[in-house]
Amino acid sequence: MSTPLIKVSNLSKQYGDLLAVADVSFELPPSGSIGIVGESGSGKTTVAKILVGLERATSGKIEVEGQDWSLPAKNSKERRERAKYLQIVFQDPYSSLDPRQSIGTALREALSISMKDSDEVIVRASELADLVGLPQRILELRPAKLSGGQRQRVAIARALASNPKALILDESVAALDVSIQAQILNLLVDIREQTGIAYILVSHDLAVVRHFADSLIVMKNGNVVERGQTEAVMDQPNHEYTKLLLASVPGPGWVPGKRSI
Amino acid sequence: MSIGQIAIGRNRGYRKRLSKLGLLGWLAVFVLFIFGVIAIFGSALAPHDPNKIDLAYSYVGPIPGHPLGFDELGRDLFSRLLVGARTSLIGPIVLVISTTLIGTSIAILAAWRRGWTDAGLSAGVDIAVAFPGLLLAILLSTVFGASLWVAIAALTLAYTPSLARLLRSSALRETGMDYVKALKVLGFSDSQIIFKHLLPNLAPFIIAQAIIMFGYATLDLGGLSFLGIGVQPPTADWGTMVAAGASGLLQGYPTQTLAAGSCLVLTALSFAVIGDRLARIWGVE
Ligand SMILES: Nc1ncnc2c1ncn2[C@@H]1O[C@H](COP(=O)(O)OP(=O)(O)OP(=O)(O)O)[C@@H](O)[C@H]1O
Ligand SMILES: [Mg+2]
Repeated sequence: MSTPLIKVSNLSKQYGDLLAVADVSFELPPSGSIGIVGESGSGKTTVAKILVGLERATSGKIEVEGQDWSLPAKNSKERRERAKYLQIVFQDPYSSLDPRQSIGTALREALSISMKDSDEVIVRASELADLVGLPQRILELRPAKLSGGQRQRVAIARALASNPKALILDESVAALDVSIQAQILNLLVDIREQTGIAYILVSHDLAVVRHFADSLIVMKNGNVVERGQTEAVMDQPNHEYTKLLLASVPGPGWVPGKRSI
Repeated sequence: MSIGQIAIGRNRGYRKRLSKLGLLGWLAVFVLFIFGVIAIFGSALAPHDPNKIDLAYSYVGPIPGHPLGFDELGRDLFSRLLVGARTSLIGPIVLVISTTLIGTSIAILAAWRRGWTDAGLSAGVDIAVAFPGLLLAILLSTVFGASLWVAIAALTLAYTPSLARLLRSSALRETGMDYVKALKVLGFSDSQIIFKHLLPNLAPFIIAQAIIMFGYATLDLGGLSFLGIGVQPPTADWGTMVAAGASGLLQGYPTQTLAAGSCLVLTALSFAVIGDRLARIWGVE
């Protein structure tokens, strides 16, 4: 295996008496994809937030291309530097965008961090809209005029503005209809083909992870209870908890490439 | 939909929203506009010297050229009312601005930092809210002497905690939004996010609160002037006029107190109505 893009070692997070994340380790190869699965409260979002510096780990180590990311960025210069490596898309489409900003403004603002030329920014903003399958006219609109699926596309486009090497999707399709979920997941597959981006897919839904992630870890109460290549874990789960999760999956649901408009 | 159509649509929405101000709301705007004009041009509009004493005219009623008559010292009431508008409105303006600036800063600092900063500030606010503003005003005026500025400082201290508490919860809601986190991860600095996103989103709420506060500020500053803690005579000011007219009131000359009191109440009411309407229009109650 090549050197990992992201290497997480023995990550832990304590909230008062609660050990929300306990000794979690995993690696993400360049252009790879890893699923983090587990029931509600198992610590998935906490891991994601620590990775992007929104929370401080109690202990453990994070390396991104060999740089030490164990502590959150100290200043905005460091924030901007890290932004080129890792971005995140959250779950709630209704709080993911500033209600006062038009979509175009939001995208151009995100681009302005790394691009100084304003013509270039405008061109790139419409390219981003294309990339996530949004019509250009949407750039003029405010979030209130968009559906949940459209908003998540915008959130993805905004995250891609910094041209990151990896993207965390924290339940980013969970709030959407199943058919819309499939569209967004297809979109993510397309984007990976075009850009070679790596994904960390956080979900409580094994069906979503199934066809999407090369490998996965299963979390329970902050601990990793199972890990391996996705197919192997799906075919032969070792831990009772994984079997339970698998039992609740209705079968192969979403298949990549099968497109519903 | 073309850009033109969108713009028209937004325009129409804007008009529709303003029409929700209602008859009473527009009446309030009109009243404040008139008072605003008087505050700016009052000295020029006043037909007589507001401070010219002529005891021969003490408590004399309306005569031609003097539509409201005279006060206890024989000064022209109408002129004093016009000239007094400026002091009576500038006090509340300064008070509202200082309270809003300090209160908003505390709320945003608490909501942004959370943790210990929030806990400390919130504890301070809880203690300060319990402290009576009038007592504070009396205390400050005995230490620093009575003046409009001392009254403003005292009321700023009295108003700020409750405003900060109110704004903190909205600020917490806003900072908890995912877009704020996304902007951090994109590399924006705290101040960029606060000034370009947080404050504009909180602005309707802050403005509505400030306008409502204006009403209270007018009455409370008037009240402090009445008690002799605020504006000092012979400066014409509606609050001091209400106070000065009190003795006349007992002797059967209510004009001064009534006229100045009506101006105060009308100003306070107008601000309350507009603040309330704006809060409803913006859905920030
Ligand atoms: N800021 C916080 N303070 C205290 N406890 C927290 C905080 N954030 C999360 N927790 C707790 O940590 C645990 C893990 O939360 P986390 O959000 O990581 O779970 P999750 O796996 O993402 O769950 P879900 O599927 O519901 O999103 C939960 O018990 C949660 O209550
Ligand atoms: Mg979560």
